[in-house]
Parts: sequence; structure tokens; C-alpha cells
Amino acid sequence: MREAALVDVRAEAKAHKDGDPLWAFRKALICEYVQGAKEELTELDWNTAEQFLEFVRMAALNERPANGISPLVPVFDHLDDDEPASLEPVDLNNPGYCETLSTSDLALSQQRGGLVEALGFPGSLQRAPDWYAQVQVTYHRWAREDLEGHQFQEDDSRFGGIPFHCTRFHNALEGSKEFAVKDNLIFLLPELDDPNRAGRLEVRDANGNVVVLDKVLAAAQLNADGTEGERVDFFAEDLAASASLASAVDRTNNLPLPKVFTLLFDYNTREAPLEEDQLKALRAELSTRNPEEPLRIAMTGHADCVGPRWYNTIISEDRVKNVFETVIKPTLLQKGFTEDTLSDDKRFKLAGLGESVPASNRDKGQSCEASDPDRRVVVVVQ
Amino acid sequence: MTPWMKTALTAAAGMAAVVATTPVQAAATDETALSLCKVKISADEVAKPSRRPTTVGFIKRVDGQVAILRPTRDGVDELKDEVGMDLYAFDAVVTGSNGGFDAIFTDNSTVSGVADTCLEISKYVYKPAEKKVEFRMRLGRGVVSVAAGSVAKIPGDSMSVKVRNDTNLAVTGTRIVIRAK
Repeated sequence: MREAALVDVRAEAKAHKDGDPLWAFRKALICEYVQGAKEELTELDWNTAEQFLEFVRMAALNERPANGISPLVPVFDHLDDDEPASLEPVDLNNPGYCETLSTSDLALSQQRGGLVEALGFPGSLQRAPDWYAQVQVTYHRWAREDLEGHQFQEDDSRFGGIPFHCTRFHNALEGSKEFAVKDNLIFLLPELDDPNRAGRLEVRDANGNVVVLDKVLAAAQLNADGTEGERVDFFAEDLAASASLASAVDRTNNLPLPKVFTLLFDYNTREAPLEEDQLKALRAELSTRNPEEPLRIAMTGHADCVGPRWYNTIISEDRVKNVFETVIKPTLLQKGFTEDTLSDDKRFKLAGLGESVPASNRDKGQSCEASDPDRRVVVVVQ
Repeated sequence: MTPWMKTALTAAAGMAAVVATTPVQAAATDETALSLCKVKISADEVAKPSRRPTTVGFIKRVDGQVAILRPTRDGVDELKDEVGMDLYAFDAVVTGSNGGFDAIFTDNSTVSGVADTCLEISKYVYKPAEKKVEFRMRLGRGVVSVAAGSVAKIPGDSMSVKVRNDTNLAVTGTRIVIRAK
């Protein structure tokens, strides 16, 4: 009967193993958690030992925690309701943070981002399964000690308290870095108006070498010493698998982008901008904004160089006020913005610059002529 | 001993609350110092308090735990980050494990940061009329996406992000994502 049961268990283990590219990682994870449970038992910490054995079972059966953050990475329960009050950064390159309770607590929170990133990146767990299993379990053990919070006294050092597990984690993380996709990764996103086009980025490394990136998702890696790392092919799948990278892309894609509108004026006029299309576009943009967002608008009025300077300053100020009062204010009031908000000069900045910043490229000393593009109000909506 | 002193200051209307103040720290060595994000840099690059703080941008959106580190004469203030808050040159924005922020700068550059990120504004000058534009950032850790604004459209090396002391990313009219540790 026992043999029959074992056959079932082995068959199940084999089924989970076959075709699972993370099997080596799972196996290493089992070893690390079993070792952890053994050590906790010698400390008579039954609860933690039981928890670690539960993770052994999950690793064996390839169960993923419902709210786990990467395959087989457990929930880090110590931080669920207890983030450190401060966000003061810690020097994460210096394991000295393990030596005091306060810096250990901050480092525990701040190392998590890098840890999740390392464990979640495609290929990492296959390249160095043993290192990453050690990274996960040492972090987990450090976190447990932090949660229990009572093993920092010198006389408790025989039980392997926070400094011990924190230092083990630090060493494991440092060791794993050799196999990781580099921490310093840069890649290009497509331009907003064309998904097939990207800008251009020059990466200058510590040796002065220049890597040019000019295609969508073109990527570069840099080593810890600032030198260029190995060339990497970066794919959309990699981007999707990395929570923080995907989140950064989502944020930038969903951000209401600043827009610039240029309204042109007739010679010596303060009213009715000439350019109807720009006016319509400005109104359309304002009508997409809502009072809850911290909208900021900066407006500058300009004049051409014909006439006295003092007069040009006045007319440029009048043009700005006119656009604000007749176009911007009514549209935003209709959207629910209040008079108080609209009179906040930190958020709505109006300035008349006279003839001092011409739009046309007039050479120094060139005689002054009435110039259409100079007579304008520039509205920046942020 | 805690490395920073907690100060319970109540925010006045419209003012940001200081949740903690870190005293001034000595340079790591003669040549190097730790930046606000605790990256080792040359001592003369360390963030200094502005005599006349100038707004260089503002926080457009905030999620979760986000703080601004602002150098002062007495050390560094840690301010609770709020939507609409001004950013000054030399500020650092730091996020917790559930944090995220979007900032818009005067030149229309946008920077978004995700969880566990620390980003410093090392230098920001935007005077297009005088052709003086410069935007330098230092990414201590985490991930940011940057959409370059007018600064990067001026010819020359006017916008860059450092991910290490010796590594510069020269950004010209583009959208990028950077991860650093």
C-alpha cells in the first residue's frame, strides 16, 4: 500500500517536473526551505518551521500563492500592515544596514523591489536557480526575524537573529547579480504618435564608450562599475513579465501629456486670435480636464518689434489676459473649476514678455518689421 | 540610535508636512559623498539647499507611499508627497513598496516613477530665451520612465540621467524606461 502511494506521489512529482523550466529552481527552493525548517526547529520556533515546510510542499507541487509575486515567491507578510514610517533611503550596497534594527527595517522594505524584480525576470531563475532560491529564502527568513522582532540582542545570536539572516541575504543577492539581467537596464519606448518609431538615446559608459539606441525596445545594460554590459535583446514579453517595468510604461502612457498651443494675433490687436484651429484645439483640450487634477497653465504673451518697447509690453500683457478671460476661464468654469482655483497664480501663470522673445529668427541689427509669428500667446497646459 | 530625528510638525494650510528631518552627514571620504538616494558620488555633486528655491516642476499624480527629500541648511527634510506639490532643483522623490508618482517639469518633460524608486534632480535650468537649459537626474534605484520635453530638443548635451557615477544617458527627444539599483 505504501509503495502504491509512493508511485502516485512520484508520478505527480514527475508530472510537475516534466516540462517545467523552473524545476531546478523549485528543487533548490525545497532544499533551502527544508534547511530553514530544521534550523528553526533547533530554535524551538515551531510556527516558523511549520510555515517553511508548507512552502516545501508548495514548491514540490508547483503551487503558486494566490497573491504571490513571482513563481513560488511567498507573500512577505511582515510588510502587509507595517511599512516603515520613513522612506529615508539606505545604502543598499553596504551590508552595514544589517547591524541596527532601524536600518535593517528600512533595508528590508527597500530591498524588496530589487528582489521581486530579480525573481520575476524571465530567465533569471533558469540561469541561476540555486542563487535565486537562496535569495528568496534568506530574505524570507530575515523578514520572519524582523516580524518577530526580538532577536537583535547579543545573547540571542546563537539563534541566528536579524543581522545573521540579513547578511546572508545580502551575500546571496550580491552573488546572484552575476547571473541577473543587469540592474542598470535602459530601453526605448515608441513615440506616442507612432508605435513603430522611437527617439534616440546615447548611453555613455564609464570607459567613454557610446551605445546608440534608436529603435523601439532597443536596450542597453550597464555593469555595476558603469561599464557597458553584454548586449541584450529585449522583447515585449520581457517587458510584460516585469511588474515594475510594465508599471513604468503604463504610468507614462496614461499620463495626460503637457500640450502647447500658439494663438496668433492681428497687427496691433488684443482680441480674437487669428488661428481658429488652435483656439478650437485649446478649448477641446481644456474640456478633457477635470477640477480634481492639479492642472497648471502657463501663458506668455508676445508682440512684434514695431513700436515702442513699453507699448509692446502692455499689448502682450493684454493679449494674455484676453485669452485667459475669454477662452480659458469660461471653459474651465464650465468644467467645474472654481474662481478661487483660477485665481491661484501658482497654478495659472500669466506673463507679458513684449518683444523680448521673438518667434521669428531675426538677426541682430536687422531692421524691425511687423511679423505675424511674433504676435502671439503661447499657452502651455500641464 | 535612529539615524534621523522624527519631528511632529503640523502642516500649515498649503504647506507640505515634514515627517522627518535627517541631520547633515559628513562626506564618506574627501572625494566622495552619499547623495540623497545614497548613491556614492563626488563630494561636490552632493545636493545643496537652494538659497532661493525655484519651482522646477510639480507632482501630477501620486499613488501609495511617496515622499520628497529636500535638502535644507540643517539637513534633509522628508516631506509627505501630495498631488500638486512643487518640486525644487535638488529634491529627490522616493517611493515605498506600493508607491508611484508622475511629475511634470517646466519644460514639459515628464517623469514617472514606480514602487521602490529613488530619483534625484541633480540640476535643472530652463531659460530658453537665454539658451540656458540643463536637466540632470540621478536614478538611485528603481524604475522611471522619462518623456523628454523642450530641454532635450535644444542641440547639445542638455538632458541626461545618471544611473551610476560614471554613466550618462543623453536623452534627445525620446521616451525611455530606466531601471537602476
